[in-house]
Amino acid sequence: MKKMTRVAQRGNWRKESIVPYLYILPSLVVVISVLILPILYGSYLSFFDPILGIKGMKFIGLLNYKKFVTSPEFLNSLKHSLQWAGGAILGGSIMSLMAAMLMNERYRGRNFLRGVILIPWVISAVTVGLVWGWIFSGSYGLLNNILWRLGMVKNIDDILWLSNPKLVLLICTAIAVWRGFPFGAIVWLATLESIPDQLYEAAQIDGANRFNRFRYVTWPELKPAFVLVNIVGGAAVFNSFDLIWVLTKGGPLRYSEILATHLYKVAFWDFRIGAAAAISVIMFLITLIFAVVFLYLTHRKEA
Amino acid sequence: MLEKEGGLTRQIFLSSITGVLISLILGPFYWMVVTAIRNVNEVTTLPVKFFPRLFSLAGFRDLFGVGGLVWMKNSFILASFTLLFSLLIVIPAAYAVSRFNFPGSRVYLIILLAIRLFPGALTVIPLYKALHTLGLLDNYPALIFTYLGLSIPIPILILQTFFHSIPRELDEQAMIDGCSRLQVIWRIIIPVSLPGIIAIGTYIFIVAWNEFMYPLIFLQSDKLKPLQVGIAGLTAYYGPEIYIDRMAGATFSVVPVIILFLCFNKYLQKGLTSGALKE
Repeated sequence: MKKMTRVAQRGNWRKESIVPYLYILPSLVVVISVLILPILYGSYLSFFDPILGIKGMKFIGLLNYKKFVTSPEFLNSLKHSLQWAGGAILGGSIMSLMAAMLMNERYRGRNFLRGVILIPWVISAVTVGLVWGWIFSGSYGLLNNILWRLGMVKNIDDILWLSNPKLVLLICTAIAVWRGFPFGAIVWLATLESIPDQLYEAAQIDGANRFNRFRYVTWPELKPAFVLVNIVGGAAVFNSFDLIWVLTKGGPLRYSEILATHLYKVAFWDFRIGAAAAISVIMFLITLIFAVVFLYLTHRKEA
Repeated sequence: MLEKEGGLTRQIFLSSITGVLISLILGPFYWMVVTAIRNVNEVTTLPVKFFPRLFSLAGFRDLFGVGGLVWMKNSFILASFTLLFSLLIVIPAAYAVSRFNFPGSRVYLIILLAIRLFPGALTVIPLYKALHTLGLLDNYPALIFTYLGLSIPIPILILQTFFHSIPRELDEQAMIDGCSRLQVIWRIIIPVSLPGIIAIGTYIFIVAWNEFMYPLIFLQSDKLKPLQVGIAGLTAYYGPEIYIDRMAGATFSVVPVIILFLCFNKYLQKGLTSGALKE
């Protein structure tokens, strides 16, 4: 009797074929209306010259691309975006890996580190920008005061970190690393913890030293998560806006201008929505490269 | 890894790296709070003292004077509604993915995975233009709707891994006992996977609380500003007071996040590591 109800139930399970679609429908509506449609609409807008506040749109074909995507300002911010995303990936990988390997050891104090490590990651970029901006500021900034007291600089305002054309992007990148590395650290820590001790023991019996144990035991296990975190993080940093906006607004001049801040200025300082749309299309295409690599890797892993 | 737990040199070495790392993580927050509660004269007296002697709440007074409490209230409204609607969307979606092998479920998951790579900056211009045309700028429901695009994809991925670990027999048994699907979700799935719900709830609230670009662009009235936009806008004032005002604002914006974090850190870490990278 019980078996029969079970069988009936299974049939029922199949009849409910529309149910899962109903359940995912709201999420699809959100994704389509705030992500997919805007990207399509943005590509459409990029062929027009709508100026904020003025009614009507003039079709101008590829002119936005010709004029704004080849402009020195655009190329300058593209270069900065690549530098800043590349620097954040590199610095973030080193920091995250170090922190993950550290927390994977057994010693006193690691639980406290585990307890606080995510804090920079959960704090808003605005707060991070305000606080680090204050630490790096000129005469009253904490860093310059420390350097001055240690006698490492002659005058307290010898180095104006965030107004220095050569340093500003580097400092911003370091702050982005500070904010981003905890995520990689905890994800990679979880991977490290899943590697059975026996593998290390076997490697040690075979005479592998510390480096070789990392190279042949740890790295193959870690690699998938390592690559994925960096792609996701890289895409996020590449397109990010808030941290640099709060720290420098792209300044001094345009020395820390990245694509997102440039985009904002074109749209809301110059009121050129069409041109801004063209810039976001290019950003989208660059991000698409990240996405294709990402999907290729996640898929290959499963196959 | 393999080394024995003992070894004083090893312990000292690891502890000192940890000490450096922890001060790097927490140091800025110490400086933020110290500046926020300091007398403004102490901020500009060189050399700057690392421990405060003269205290003042002028920073907070200034902050409340320009609308800090209203911004905070706005942030709570935005984050709470985003949390509510996100959960209503995320829970059924994660349930569907974990329980039904429906055609298209893989494509759906792949879309969710890929979406994380396309952050707000790519859609903000067309969204702005669309909201402008529809007359929906300066409108909370519209703003919350755009927040959902940021807040639901990752939680669906995280939560479905939690749901996967609940045996299907529980659902089946409950349905034999006469429960509908929604009752199964409400009475069994949600209580059993509460750690997962807490993890994504924390994540969603923090995402909404921290969002800056959308409200900066989609809102126009001062009285609708959330905290992040408000404190970032404090840059408009000058004089040394700006430092204590900004740090008061920063402290103010961090407190709810830190409270949530301290309560739910374990769940959040587990959620992020279990679902962040998997389908």
